[in-house]
Amino acid sequence: MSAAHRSMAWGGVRAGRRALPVLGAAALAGCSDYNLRPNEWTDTFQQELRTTVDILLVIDNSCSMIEEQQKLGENFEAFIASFAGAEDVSYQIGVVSTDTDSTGAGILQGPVITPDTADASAVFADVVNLGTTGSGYERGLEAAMLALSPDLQSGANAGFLRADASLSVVFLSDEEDSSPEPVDIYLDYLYAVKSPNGYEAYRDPRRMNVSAVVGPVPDGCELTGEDVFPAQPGERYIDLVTRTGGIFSSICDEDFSGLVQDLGLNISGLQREFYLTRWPDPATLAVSVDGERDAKPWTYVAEQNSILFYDEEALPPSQSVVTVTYTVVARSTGEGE
Amino acid sequence: MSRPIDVGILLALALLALAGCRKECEQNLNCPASEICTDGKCVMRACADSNTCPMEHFCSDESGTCVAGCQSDRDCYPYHRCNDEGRCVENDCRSTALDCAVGQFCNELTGECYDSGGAYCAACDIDDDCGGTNWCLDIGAPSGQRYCLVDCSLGQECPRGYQCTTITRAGAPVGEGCIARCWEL
Repeated sequence: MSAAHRSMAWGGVRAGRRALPVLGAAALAGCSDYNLRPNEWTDTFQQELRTTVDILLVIDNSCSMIEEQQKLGENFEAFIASFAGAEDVSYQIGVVSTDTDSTGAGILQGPVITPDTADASAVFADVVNLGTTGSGYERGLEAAMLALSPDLQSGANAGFLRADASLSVVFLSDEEDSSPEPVDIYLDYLYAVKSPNGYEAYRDPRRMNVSAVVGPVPDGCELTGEDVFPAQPGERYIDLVTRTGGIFSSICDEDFSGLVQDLGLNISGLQREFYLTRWPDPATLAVSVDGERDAKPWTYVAEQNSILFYDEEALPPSQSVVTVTYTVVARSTGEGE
Repeated sequence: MSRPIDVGILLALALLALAGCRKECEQNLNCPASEICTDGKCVMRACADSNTCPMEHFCSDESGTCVAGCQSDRDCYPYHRCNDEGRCVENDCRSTALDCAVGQFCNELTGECYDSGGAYCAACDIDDDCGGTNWCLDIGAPSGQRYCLVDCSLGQECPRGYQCTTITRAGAPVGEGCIARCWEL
């Protein structure tokens, strides 16, 4: 070995002596990190109350709708009271008709109702009483799209849509939607309204949902009172309700008190379904609410890869933390996340 | 005298350190949820899940980044679905009412909407202009133009935008026909 090589070798050892504690620590750290975890996974969700909501009511004003408008108007108090923690919810309620033939198509009728509206209940009853002289070709989806369009949002309907608010669209009609486009065009539009970066509402339907008080599929229903025409099935509305996690209720129900409570609960944003981020072995699922296992009745929905709390009377409360622990199983690409 | 021992200890520790570092993880499941296993190390993922990715992208379990394509229908726009190749493709129509444009039917076998053709809303003067058991009626067009209403008395489906409604003549029902505001189509 040459002198130069020896010098290098001993220089290395000298440096190594100084580095010995460091290497030792690194080795130990490396060893302590060598701890292959089992395939156990935990998803954590916060049950968050929506505190800022914009609610667009799209109401059929064709003939035969007078009683339904009145029934809705009589239930404003129950509607608002059913917002969990209503005193803290900043809501805006705007009303538009399904008539897109008139010159005011898509323009909000009457004032936008907010927590600051004096005698809001009376104002609501007045606003939703749109009359029955509208077009017989009800185009609810088209009317909603018009009401939320950039043209009207920067004009007659300015201030209704708030950037930080979630959006709930509620349809009330005794006929099928006659809007010209396939339903996906309208769903896409509504999601896009609440997706400033291009994806938020598509990814999280709680930012926008659709509810409907219409005739059930496939046969509609018989309206009572002076109406002689049966309500048509509102297939197009119900499709959007299903796909956005909204509430469907039959327009033939005797009164709307139960309906408006469900609507309020839904609009307030309490989630029933929580989507898992990995595929679980269902036998290993452990679900807790605020640390208490099986505190609320739940089931695993394989098709959605989600945990569903199926008892609407026993949902995880606002601000609670839902944790789901499970063993991950492998799924091939194309079968979902 | 202690030099050989020092060298041996150093080499052993260095090897142990390297071995330990290499084996911090072997697969993503060995890392916390927010990290992925890269070159034996747990490193932060660029995306937590697909909900933070643009549409038509998904959060790759492998790379921890948003990549183009899809893993489920939720990665695609409403009128698309995720196919077996992991690409968002146009949806098949489910029904005439839901997925077709005005004047079309849904062929549920092929999943495609097609134009109804035929006499639907054809301008006419008399029933014979409409063929078969169809009717030529004044349905309230501002111009006074009459239009064909195609027979749906036996439960035939009407095209999207039409309704099967009772036809009356001289106050008596004569059948059912597919009606629309033809002058707007």
